[in-house]
Formats: sequence, structure tokens, C-alpha cells
Amino acid sequence: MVDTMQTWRDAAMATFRAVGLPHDRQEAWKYTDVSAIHQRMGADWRKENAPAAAPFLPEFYPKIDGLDAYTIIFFQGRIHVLGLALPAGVDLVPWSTMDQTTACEDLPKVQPDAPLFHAFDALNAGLMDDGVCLRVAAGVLLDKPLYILHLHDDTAHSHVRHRVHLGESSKASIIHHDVALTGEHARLRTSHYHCYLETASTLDHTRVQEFAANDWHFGRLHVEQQQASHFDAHAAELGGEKIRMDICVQLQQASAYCAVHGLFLLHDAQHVDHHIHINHYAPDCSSRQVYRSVLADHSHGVFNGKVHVHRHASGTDAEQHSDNLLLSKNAEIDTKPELEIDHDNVTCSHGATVGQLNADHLFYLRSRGLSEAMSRDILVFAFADALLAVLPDRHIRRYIESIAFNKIPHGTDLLGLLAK
Amino acid sequence: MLKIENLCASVAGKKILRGVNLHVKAGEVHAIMGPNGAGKSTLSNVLAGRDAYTVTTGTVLFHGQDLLAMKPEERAWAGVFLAFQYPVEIPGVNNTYLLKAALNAKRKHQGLSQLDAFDFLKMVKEKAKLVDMDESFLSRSVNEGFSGGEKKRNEIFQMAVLEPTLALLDETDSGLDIDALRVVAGGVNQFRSADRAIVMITHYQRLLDYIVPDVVHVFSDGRILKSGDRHLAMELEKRGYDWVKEEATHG
Ligand SMILES: Nc1ncnc2c1ncn2[C@@H]1O[C@H](COP(=O)(O)OP(=O)(O)OP(=O)(O)O)[C@@H](O)[C@H]1O
Ligand SMILES: [Mg+2]
Repeated sequence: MVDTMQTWRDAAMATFRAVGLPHDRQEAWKYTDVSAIHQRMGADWRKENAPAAAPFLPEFYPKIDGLDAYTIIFFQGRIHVLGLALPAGVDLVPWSTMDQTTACEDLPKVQPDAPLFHAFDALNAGLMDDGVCLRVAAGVLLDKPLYILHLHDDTAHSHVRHRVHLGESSKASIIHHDVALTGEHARLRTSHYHCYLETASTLDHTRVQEFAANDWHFGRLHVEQQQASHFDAHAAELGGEKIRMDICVQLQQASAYCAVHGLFLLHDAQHVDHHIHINHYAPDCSSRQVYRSVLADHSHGVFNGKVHVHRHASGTDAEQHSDNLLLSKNAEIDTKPELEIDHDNVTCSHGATVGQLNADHLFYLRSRGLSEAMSRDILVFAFADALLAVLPDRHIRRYIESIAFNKIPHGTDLLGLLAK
Repeated sequence: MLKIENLCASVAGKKILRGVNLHVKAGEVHAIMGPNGAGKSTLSNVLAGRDAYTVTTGTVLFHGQDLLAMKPEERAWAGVFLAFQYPVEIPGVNNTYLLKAALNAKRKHQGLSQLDAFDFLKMVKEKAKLVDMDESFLSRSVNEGFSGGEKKRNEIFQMAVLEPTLALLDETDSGLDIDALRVVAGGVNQFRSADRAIVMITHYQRLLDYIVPDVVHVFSDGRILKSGDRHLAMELEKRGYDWVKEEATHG
């Protein structure tokens, strides 16, 4: 019998080899150097994949206080805890529990022609550990978010590949949370989401990234939107050593809306690079890109947001914002909003700011009796919080705030600062 | 309480303060009046500790301590408060939180325990009432979207909460409507006490009808040219500043 899954994987690996690793002579990889990948992966890129074993009991897993959600847990890229009672019309199946033929048909395909495609996405398909196929039937509104906790330890690399399909007028919210439990050995993580939004459906996709300090991650979020569908993405980049996200949104039919938000809170030598490509193919679609980064120490942020307004996309409304706070003279940001317009009747705006903390604000706070350190923290917090305030779930917001700001000396005091 | 001797300061290489002498005793209210650009705000900023200004000579003693050697937050803990001429908007920083953090920072410095959240909120609401400030302002970001007058009122509200011993009010009356002026002045008058002092910078004699000063100073070209009682302010209102300058040069 032919092993269909193996054939599928082999084809992906063939693409991986044919495309070749990204390198700094490619415009999209100018700032993210992956040449050290070979040391990380060793001779046989596959061999490291040890079978998943739960390191400790689920009650000790990181928890988001107060979050009321349908929870599934992956460990090292494989489904670990499922046991969900999902509402009727919501179908969620891990690839590993499907028969191979069905899985190979439903798995997100490797699409070398898609914008921002690169070898690591083919690698993700070739080495995939597991993932889910989520289908929400037409008209079904998921009453609670689907919380997909991805736990990682350093015994192996991990690769997840998910597919999300929202039927007409359906609605769902996904929270993807990456947490590293251990981080001694340097690992590679890859992820892929393929989301398809039928007419008038709504998807919210939140990613909270807390990889280990020496983890690399290459992720792809590929979204295809039909008429009047609504897509919101949020990313909080908190951990990892080298993080690259490629976000591609295809606005294929009229009146679709997408908003891509990203918050980088980086320190040490962390490197986070988000490349975004939004294609406006149809009339009257809107897109937003809203990014903020707080860069300390030697950290490096990259934001490259491209909007391409195609020939038939009259009435396009596109906005891009990238605001960056450099807390150290060694921190660096490369921000580039890009616009390609094949149609006249469009409203496009973009703005990028790079700066330090405002001296007048600092003096004002200090003159009221706040120490210099605390004043700085408050201003950083307030800057970052503008993006957290738009998160769909307030428990996620509180969680990110506590993770990000407990690291700074006055973190715990700061939580009261939020405008309610 | 406050002893300023021969204070000279410059900003961006430009000399602004040229020998300021000013003594303020506890319980007193001093008014400083003078033409635009004379250096009045510079003086208040130097006293509050803004580091853009360089003090070249002179001394400032506050309760016998060298004020100029202190950081801005240490001055605040010691009891100095500046109501800014142009209060900044700080998006994302909650007005009430700022005050709570400020009070707690001071208490920590004094070795006191942190404030009880309930007591604090009660006190803040009382103080808001004192300056007739709507409670909705408490949960807004500091000065963000506040009108000019609302910002000034917020400064006095902050003063009332922080209870400094020396309040420097830099044109707090500018931008206030007639009713607001009365309310804000009422707040300041309630604040007056035997162990507190107020130095208020103003362009308008009208303010002095509400907050009656003990001393009025004419500030010009980086120093105090003339001092007198409240009648000096009335005279200035009538005659302007030129005669004071002339008196100072020929006199
Ligand atoms: N940061 C600065 N950089 C350059 N010049 C400054 C700075 N701050 C103040 N100055 C200058 O110092 C002088 C005094 O300014 P200051 O604000 O102290 O005047 P003022 O007496 O408060 O005037 P007003 O009545 O208009 O408020 C002005 O000429 C002003 O332009
Ligand atoms: Mg002034």
C-alpha cells in the first residue's frame, strides 16, 4: 500500500529543497539572517523529532486566568489534550486522528506561488507533527473562543499546520498560545495557518508567543476572504530568539475587511520580523495594519507591510501604522510600509514613527513624585497598551500585561494603570 | 521655606534667569507678574527640576535643603508641586492611577505603608468635588482630550490630592472661564494654610481678587525688579511694565 502521507510529505520536502533557504540577497530576507539554521538543525533535520510525552500534569500548564474557552493542547506539535464538547456545527479534527487520504486532501497545500512563500513553509508541511482541521458550519456562531495551547519543550523541533474554514455567516475566535516549558537546546518551531472565510463570516485570530529565549520560529498565516467577511489578527511577540511571521491576506471578494495587529516587546538580542502582504482584489475592501514595538537592549524589530491594490479594487481603504519605541541606543527597527496601486479610486494612508520616550512626559510624571524608572515603565506600558486594548478578550489582555510587565521592576504596580 | 539667592540659569546656551532673589515663608502667597518671555516659567521649571535648564550660579534652599541637588521626584516628595503652564497630554496613563502611584511613591520614600485602595478613591472623589471636576475625568488618560481650562483644573485637582507644601502655579488662571476661575481659586484658597506657601505666576490682576497675595513681584529680563503688596498689581494693571523697568535702570 502506498503511504499517502509520506508521499505528501516527500513532495513538500522536494519543494523545500527546490526553493532553497532564504538568504539576505532576497529583499524580504534582508534583515533576517537564517544562515545559522544548519547548526541548529544538525545533519538530519528530521531525526530530532522524538515522540511527544507529557512533561507534567495539565493542571500545571500555564493558564490564562479567567479565560472561558474551548481548550485544546498540543505538546511538541502533536495533539495532547482534546476531549472537547464543541457546539453542533463545529468540527475540529487533528490530522493525526484522520485517515491519511482525507488528511492529505484537507491539509493546507504548499503554495510556492503565494505571496511571501518561502522554504520554511514547505519544511513545515514536510515535517509537520500535527495540527487541526477546524470547520465551522454556515450560520454557526462559536460562543467561546477556541484556545489552542501549544506547549514546547527543548527535546525536539516542532511543526504545526492548521486549517480553519468558516462557513457563510459563521463566527469564531481562535487564541493560539505558544509556551516553551524548557529551553536549553536551541530549537526550530514552525507553524502554518490556512484560514478560509466564506461570505459574511468573522474570524478573530490572536497569537501569544512565549517561546524559549533560544527558539527560532517561522510562521505563516494565510487568509483568504470572501464577500463581506471580517478578519482580525493580533500578535503579541514576547519570547524567542529569531521570529519571522509571514502574513498574507487575500481579499478576494467585495467589502471584505481585515485588520492585522502586532505588538513586539523585545529585549536582549531578540529579533522579530513580520512581513505582511495584503492583496486587494475586489472593490470596497478595507485593510488595517497596526503595529507597535518596544525595543530594549540589542533587540531588532522588522515590520514590512505591503498593500497591493489590484485593478478591480475600486473603493479600497487601506491603512498602515507602525509606531516604535527604542529604549536603548543599540536597539533597531526597520519599518517599511509599502503600497502598490493599480487603481485610482483608493484611500491609502500610512505612517511610521520611531522614537524614544517623550522627555516632557517623563518630567511631568517625575514632577508628581514618580521615580524615573517607574515613569519610564509607565510610559512604555501606556504605549504598548494601546494595542492590547484592542484585543478581543480582556483576560488575554491582562495575561499579556502581566507576562510582559512583571519582567520590569514596577510591573505589578502598573496593572492598575489601565484606563478601564 | 524657600530661599532663592542670585539664581542664574540658561537653556540651549541662552541666559534666561539673571540673578533671581526670592524668599517665601510658610503661610505666604506670592504673585509673580511680568512680560512674556521674561523667564517666569523657566524659574518654575528650574525649581521643579527640569533638566533642560542649566543652573549656572545661585542657590535654592527649601526647608534648609539644597533643592537644586535633588531629582524632580525627590522635590515632589519634599513637598514641591508645579502646576504647569502647559500641562502635557499623556495618552494611556490613567489620571487616578498617576496620583495613586505618586502618593504611594512618596509614602514609600517616607517609610509608610501603601494606601488603602478604598480610602484613596474616597479621598480622590472628595478632592475632585472641591474643584468641581466631573468624576469621569478621573478614569481618563492624563489631560488627553481635556480642554485648556480642564487641564488647568486638573492641575489644581492634582495639587489638592498630593498636598504639597510649596505650590508653584504657572498661569493656572489663563484659559479658565469666569466660573471656573472662581471654583479653582476656591480650591487654592482651601489649600492655603499656615504651613503651606504658594507662588503663583499670572498676567491678570483679576486672579488676585480671588486669591489675595501677601507679596507681588514684577519679573522682567530674568529677575525680580520690584516687589510690593497687592496694590502693586493694581498699578501694573493700569500702567503696564515699562515704568518698573525704567525705575529699575534709573532708579
Ligand atoms: N527649551 C527652551 N529652548 C529655547 N528657549 C527657551 C526654552 N525654554 C524657554 N526658552 C526661552 O526662554 C525665555 C523665557 O521663557 P519662559 O517660558 O520662562 O517665559 P515666561 O516668562 O514664562 O513667558 P510667558 O509669560 O509667555 O509664559 C523665552 O525667550 C523662551 O523662548
Ligand atoms: Mg510662562
